[in-house]
Amino acid sequence: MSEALLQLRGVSLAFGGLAALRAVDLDVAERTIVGLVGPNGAGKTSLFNCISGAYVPTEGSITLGGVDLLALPVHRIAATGVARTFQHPVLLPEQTVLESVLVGAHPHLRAPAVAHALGLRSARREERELRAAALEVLDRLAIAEVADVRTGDLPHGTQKRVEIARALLLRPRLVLLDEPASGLTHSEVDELGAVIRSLRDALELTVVLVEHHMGLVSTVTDKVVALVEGRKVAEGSAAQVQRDPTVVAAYLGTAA
Amino acid sequence: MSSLGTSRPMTGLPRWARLTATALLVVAVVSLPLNASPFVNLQLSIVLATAVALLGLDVLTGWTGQVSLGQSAFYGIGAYAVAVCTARGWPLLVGLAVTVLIAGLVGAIIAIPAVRLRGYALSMVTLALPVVAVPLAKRLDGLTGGSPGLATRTVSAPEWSGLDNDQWRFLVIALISAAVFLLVRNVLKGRHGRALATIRSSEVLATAMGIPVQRYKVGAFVVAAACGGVGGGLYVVAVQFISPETLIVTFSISLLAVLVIGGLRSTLGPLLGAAFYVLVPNVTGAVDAGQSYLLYGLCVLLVMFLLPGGLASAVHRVLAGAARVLPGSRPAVPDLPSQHPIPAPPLPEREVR
Repeated sequence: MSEALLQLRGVSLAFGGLAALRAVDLDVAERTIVGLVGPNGAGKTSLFNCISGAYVPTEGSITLGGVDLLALPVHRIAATGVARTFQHPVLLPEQTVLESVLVGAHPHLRAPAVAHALGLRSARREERELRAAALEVLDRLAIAEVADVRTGDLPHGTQKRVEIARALLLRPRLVLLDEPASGLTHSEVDELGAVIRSLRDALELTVVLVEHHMGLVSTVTDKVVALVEGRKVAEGSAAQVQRDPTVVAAYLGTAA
Repeated sequence: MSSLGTSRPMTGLPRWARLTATALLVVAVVSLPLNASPFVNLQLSIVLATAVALLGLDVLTGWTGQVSLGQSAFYGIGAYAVAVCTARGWPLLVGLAVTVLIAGLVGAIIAIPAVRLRGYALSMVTLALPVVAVPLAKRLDGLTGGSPGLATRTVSAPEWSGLDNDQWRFLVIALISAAVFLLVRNVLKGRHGRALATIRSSEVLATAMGIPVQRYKVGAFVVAAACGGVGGGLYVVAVQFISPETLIVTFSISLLAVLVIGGLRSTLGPLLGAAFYVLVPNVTGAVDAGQSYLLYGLCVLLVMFLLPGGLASAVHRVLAGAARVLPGSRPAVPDLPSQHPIPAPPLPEREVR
């Protein structure tokens, strides 16, 4: 296998004396879908936050395509192609779907404030092209019909899809999905699995998802990594990880 | 033509209605001073000056979610800059350019360290600005005229116009205010406005979207400071006089209050808020001079209880109603009740490559 797109080496994160992550190694190969599982508090979202720059690991290294993400100012990480969604959709309720996804393309936009202030053609063209690109992404995710609906009026499942659309507008290489299936109905979860696979195939994306929904994890992932108390305890296919005694013990408790 | 996370007063209207409304507005603004008394022109001029200062505050508070108690200090900087420049016989535009430079610079000097602070700390830092500015304006009496203040002659009506000074000044102020509103609104419509709105909703989200949060907060602060300065400068154009009392911190607090009364994140908000601030005391004073403040306070409460979205929200509602009945309107997006959410449509089949 060629060198992994995303590489974590010995990533540790501590809040005061509390260790959230302990020397985690992770390799995510290009165009694969990797599932991150583990009980609540295992450090899954913390790991996401380290990759996307919200937290700075106390130790370790994180590289994307050979670029050292920890050496970058946090707001530059997105520009390297890392996009993410949140466990609970972070959307402004009064914004329409179209408006709320546009910000996803922020790192690609160049027109300076002066060009916008004076209404120069360059700024107007950039905005027009952005809107067209956004409508295309909404169409891909089958939410183009609700483009002008305020996000606050949408059901949870559609809000989660708006977040995915926003992430796609970055034209990312790596997408981090934080519990994309939480709060979805059965049929929505099935659709979500199809979406994630189609994105990987059509847009050549690499996906890491934090997920409790084992049905989704076993149908979409190429590899599953289990975290328990900040440590990586298992890695392999979904079936392998689900049988792993440490993982089973972490979820169900050990026999007395 | 939309701006993010904001109410857009005229977007729902058909194009002809938008153009007609704009044309009527321009005609009204140009003809208004010709038929009004000098006192009314002065009041309307102060409304516009205050509105420009509120516009800046809205960028910082309404859009970016940062509360500043320092706007009166920037208003004062602008007022003194224009007064000092015009007292030396320099043209008004030079005075305003100096205003933008000094107010923007002071704003940046305060903001660069202050935006690193979290929570209320930024507000507390901005509170210090008027507290320092008032005694400073009194102390620097060589430049500012000290406690008695500084009188100047900013612009006078040229011979050819056949206008009185108060009419001419109103038109100059209206032109400059309109330019500032247009420039700021255009910027907010694009990626910069989206970035500020995103910062307001979540800094974690903003960072994940590649937005340099602190740089944008400094930018918002500088725009707020510059607009505050221009507002103060226009005030001097109208009043021809400035004294340290104009800068006091209670004026900053009033500006915050009337911004909310006018309506946040709306082009109309600062205008309506400024009109409330300047005009309502005239009305309450006329009703009962002794109880003027009490009546003003009642008006504040009344607006907030009846229109929590500010005065602008009422206008938006009327315009939305007009958009539904006027011919040529685009089919409006229905206001969906949240208990009848739109289900996500089914997805297309997986793409095969």
